[in-house]
Amino acid sequence: MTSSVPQESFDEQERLVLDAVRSGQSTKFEDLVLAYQNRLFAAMLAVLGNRQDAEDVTQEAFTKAFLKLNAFQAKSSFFTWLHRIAFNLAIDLRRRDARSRSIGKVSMEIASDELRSAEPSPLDATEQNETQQKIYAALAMLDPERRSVITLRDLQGMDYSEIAQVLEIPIGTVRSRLHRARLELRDLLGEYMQLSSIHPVRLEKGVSE
Amino acid sequence: MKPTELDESLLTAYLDDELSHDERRLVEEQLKVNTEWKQLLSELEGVRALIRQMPKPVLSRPIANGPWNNQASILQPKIERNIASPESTQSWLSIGQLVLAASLLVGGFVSIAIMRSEKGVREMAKTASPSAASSSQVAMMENAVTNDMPTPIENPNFDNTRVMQESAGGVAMTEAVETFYFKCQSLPLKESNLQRLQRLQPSEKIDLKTDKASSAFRYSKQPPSDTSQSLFPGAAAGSASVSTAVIEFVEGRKYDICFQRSDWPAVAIELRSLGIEPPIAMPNQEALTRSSRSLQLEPQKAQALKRYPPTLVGVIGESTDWIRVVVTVEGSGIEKSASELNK
Repeated sequence: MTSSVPQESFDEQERLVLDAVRSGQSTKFEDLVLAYQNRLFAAMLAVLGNRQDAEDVTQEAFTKAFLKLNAFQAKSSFFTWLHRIAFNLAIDLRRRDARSRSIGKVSMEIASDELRSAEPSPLDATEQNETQQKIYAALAMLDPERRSVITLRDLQGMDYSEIAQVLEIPIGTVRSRLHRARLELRDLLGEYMQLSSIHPVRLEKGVSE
Repeated sequence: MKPTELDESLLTAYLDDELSHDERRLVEEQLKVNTEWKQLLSELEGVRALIRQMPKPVLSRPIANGPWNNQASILQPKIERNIASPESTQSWLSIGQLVLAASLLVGGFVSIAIMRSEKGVREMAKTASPSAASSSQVAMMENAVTNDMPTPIENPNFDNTRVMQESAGGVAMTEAVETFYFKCQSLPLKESNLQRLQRLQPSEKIDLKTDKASSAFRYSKQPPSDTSQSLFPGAAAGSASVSTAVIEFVEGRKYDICFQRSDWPAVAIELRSLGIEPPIAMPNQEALTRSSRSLQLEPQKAQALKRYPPTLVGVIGESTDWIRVVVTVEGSGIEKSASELNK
């Protein structure tokens, strides 16, 4: 999991919080909520394509995580476990809700809202908005399974192992789904990739520039 | 070498630094000689960069409330949601079986909760009002059963499952919630009686060991806005009578319990009897199914109930008006009526 906080100390801090909650200091759980709520919401928004649903699922995931905390065995990070709960809720919601069938349309609608609330970037605002709106739309066009994988990887910064735990799929499946998702996005976002090349984003380790 | 799809996925993994040393070396060798791979890698980088430069959306309203800072809030289902759709009703019906089976198991937790509830009240008084349980929390309650996760009653984290949090206009009234025992068969629902109950001292509580009927009554200092509301379903307006109409002991192996007020979204019912230890807790069947269901008791518990009729029933949940919990009395030990209490 990508984090600016050293992983070891972060995990220790998280463990202490979890221990405190388990020992009865339930309000300490709010520390976890504050730490993860926006990240989880971002993931749910990308997956569900609907702000209200994403907020509901985010809230519900935290509630459920709190209630199930005794079942959390720390085999994964709390964040990963929380995501698994949230993704399961999102899947349930999609099954129940007919709105999921028009997720692409909804995503297009929410995109502009998201862009309005986004922080300015070096890109020209208009250009940026257009690009980002296109990205939202492209994401929404992905198969939900691929969208989930790419959300967890590129928006949430999870490694393949964590993604596999969240989605309960083999790591090889993570890799293939992610690859297909990127290929599909490449085809959908061809013109904007050229734009991106004008404003290159620093690549992670292991990538030759 | 033309990359196959399988091989291509190595590029994605290479990009994400998810390859083993050998795989990585293989990919790097290919990249030196394979222009298609180099092109594809560049495109994948571009896609990844685009996604990663997306704005980070934030919640329009941060999650400020949840069971972690107000444990009672999860015990506040919105009854209208429960009865809104046939699907919901069916869901409740289907989960009812599971809940019934689980109810016997949770008694132990509830007994712990009871012992600690007084502390829980004080702790909860420090917390902010939930104002209202969110729809998510309601859904959580549903999922809690359907997904076989611990219900609040089962969860040992919840040491105040019997604690009610009164809210009026979004203001927490937790301080007003206490448990009282009193000797009466019926209780006219008047503010004066609430005040009288407040004045009862522990010494006036009925000793359960005497096998005399007893009742506990949780109340709010917030007076009811509508005095026609009764504590018990089926009771005459303005009075709170103890009635076997709502608590029916079926001789043998079953014990039926049901609160039939549609506007009473009680989540759980707790049952005590001298013959049963620990107390039995169960979801309010009315809240679940809109119809009375039977609790299947183990033979020895059924026999115990037969010998010692249940003496105390508490309802855990939220009321749409002002009362949270009522306790009824069953048996022959009732010594004072409400009129006596009012003297």
